[in-house]
Amino acid sequence: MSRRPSTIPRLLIVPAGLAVALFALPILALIARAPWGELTSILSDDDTGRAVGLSLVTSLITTGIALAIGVPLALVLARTRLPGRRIILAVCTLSMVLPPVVAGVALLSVLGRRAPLGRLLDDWFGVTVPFTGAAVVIAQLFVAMPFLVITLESALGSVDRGPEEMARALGARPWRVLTTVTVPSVRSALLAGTVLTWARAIGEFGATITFAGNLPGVTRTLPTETYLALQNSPDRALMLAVIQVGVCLAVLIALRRRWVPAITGGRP
Amino acid sequence: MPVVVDVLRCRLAATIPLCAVLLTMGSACSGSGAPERVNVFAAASLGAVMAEVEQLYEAANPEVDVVVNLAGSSTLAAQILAGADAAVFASANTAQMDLVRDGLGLGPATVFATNELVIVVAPGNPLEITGPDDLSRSDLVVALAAPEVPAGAYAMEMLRRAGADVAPATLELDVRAVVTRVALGESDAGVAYRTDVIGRSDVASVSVPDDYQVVADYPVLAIDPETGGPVVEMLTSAVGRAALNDAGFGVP
Repeated sequence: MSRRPSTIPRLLIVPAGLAVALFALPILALIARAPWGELTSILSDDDTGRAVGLSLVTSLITTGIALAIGVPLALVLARTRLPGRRIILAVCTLSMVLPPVVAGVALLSVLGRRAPLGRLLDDWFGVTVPFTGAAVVIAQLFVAMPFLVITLESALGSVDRGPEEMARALGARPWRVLTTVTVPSVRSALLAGTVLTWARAIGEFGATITFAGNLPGVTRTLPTETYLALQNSPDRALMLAVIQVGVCLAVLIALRRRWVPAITGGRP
Repeated sequence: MPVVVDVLRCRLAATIPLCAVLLTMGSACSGSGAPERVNVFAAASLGAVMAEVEQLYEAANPEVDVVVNLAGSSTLAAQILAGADAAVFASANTAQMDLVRDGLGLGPATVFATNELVIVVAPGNPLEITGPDDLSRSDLVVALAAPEVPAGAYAMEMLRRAGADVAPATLELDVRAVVTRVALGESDAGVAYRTDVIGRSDVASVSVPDDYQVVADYPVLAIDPETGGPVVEMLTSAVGRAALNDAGFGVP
């Protein structure tokens, strides 16, 4: 590791430090204020277990579905001459700027019992979506999947297409080009987008409470459990928030170990 | 990525005039020679009543500017205990009032209003819900408030007294959300306060029999007797009681 001369003005350290303080101070304060003595009792509590379990299961299902339909979307947007691609991308990422509660109302307007699609599902299959685990996943998908789509689409747009075209010219079939050239060329963006989507999904609150409601073991995720705890046992809420930070950090660190080259783009 | 940038740019452009407006409003409010400010901290359900009392009080006392701060009672109690400048505290339950009284070493509060539970149903009551017992019907989607919030705790107690074994589809984070569920048609029935449904045409209500009724007491206290006392007096006077009645409250 040889020291290279910095290519950026030194003064940038000041605003960069401010940014670090903005992120670090609230988390540190949260950790400092949390009642650590109650950690074991809160962790072994049934309500906590149910909420953590539901949050992990739903956010992982969300991430899986996001990969299954979000990656194809990013590929279609970045690699075809589809008319109105910009507009489609805008529509597919609009939920990022919606207040989450509004996102929940929007979902109810489509899949609610009195909404067009919701009524069809009810009449034909006897299925009602709100107040179910499926509603939790749909709410998470709606607000979290854009992070994967936008990250991947942007990476696909900036990567050199020479190797893909060469592989095609040499006779590789499209599936082979996709799996051996295109996807590996954007694997760090793919991983970053996946992690962002999962993190947004596990922290989802507003759209979930509006669209899916709140019932222990069915729709009550960790953020909802935390919000309710804030009503009459703030200490428990603080501890739950720390547990959520801990769960997310643990997953990210585990991923980082496994995927270091992918995350740092090959740099150590 | 350009799309995100575009969206952000739009938002920024929309924000700038808004900031300017807020700045002007801010400076307009805080001039010298401003009327004496009396902060009234009131439970969110008292919104309509407090707006009327504020207007009446300011008309009678032009030198006073009554500012009503509406929020959940537990939030208000926490703010007051943290040193917020409240002249009056009107709470939706006695527990939060007791917290404030104990914390500040104040005397007893006065119960100035009561609120009772009703069953919220769709307009015209198409599913023919007649009382708490019906809420245990398996064909109904029922929304209650979570037991962590007062309305939810009262609803559970009411259903327990009625012997109704209800399996709610959702436990909402506040009582207004219960009414919204029924108004949107996502739930067939819910339990809320009478004041939450009065004057609404998108929901109807079914009364709870007195035997099972759980009544919420609303206590009020002048934290600052000098500036807050007269406001409490108006709230408990004939005009205050009329306003409370209009909003669906009971008056003791």
